[in-house]
Amino acid sequence: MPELKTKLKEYRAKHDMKQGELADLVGVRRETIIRLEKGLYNPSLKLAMDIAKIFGVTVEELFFFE
Amino acid sequence: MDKTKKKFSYSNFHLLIFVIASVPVTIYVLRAIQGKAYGDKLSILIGMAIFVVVQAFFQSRFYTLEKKDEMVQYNLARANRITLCAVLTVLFTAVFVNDYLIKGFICSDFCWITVMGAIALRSLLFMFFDAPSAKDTEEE
Repeated sequence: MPELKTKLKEYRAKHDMKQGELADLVGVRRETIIRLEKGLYNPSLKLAMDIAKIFGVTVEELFFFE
Repeated sequence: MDKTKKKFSYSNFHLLIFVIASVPVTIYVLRAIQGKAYGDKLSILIGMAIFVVVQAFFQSRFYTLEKKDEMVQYNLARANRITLCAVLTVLFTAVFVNDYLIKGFICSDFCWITVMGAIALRSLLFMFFDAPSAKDTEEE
């Protein structure tokens, strides 16, 4: 079964953004961002879209199945 | 005013709930092991209720509860599901024991211990599910 992977860490590093800053921008706890980056949690569509909007990319670019 | 308030994490909140719920049960069990009559059980419950009120006052005065994001809700839902299964198992077992083994097994003590135990278990499970992320404090 394919797993949901993310490039969240790469995009965050590209935008020189800390986990806490991103968490504040999308209205979640920093722990949620940590788990998302580690692939331990699948985000809701709203959260995925909010994060994609912050980085100016599509959800598919940020989250993908592997 | 709100800016001066410290953040109170959900893990800490559930740690408090766990303590509040488990202390009366622990005292009851310890007294039962010692073989002493469990006389003043109401005062323990009232004591914990006073603690809850005092804690709620200080929390609302000096702290703001962390925002309840979707991962908190997800972890709470997992904890609720397991707690519900545990409570149903305990209740069905208790009915069986009460009917076939020990008459009068289901009494007032059994009821409040089950309720307090369920509350404690729910908070314990939430802390367990939330712990790996809470421990990871390293900012990247």
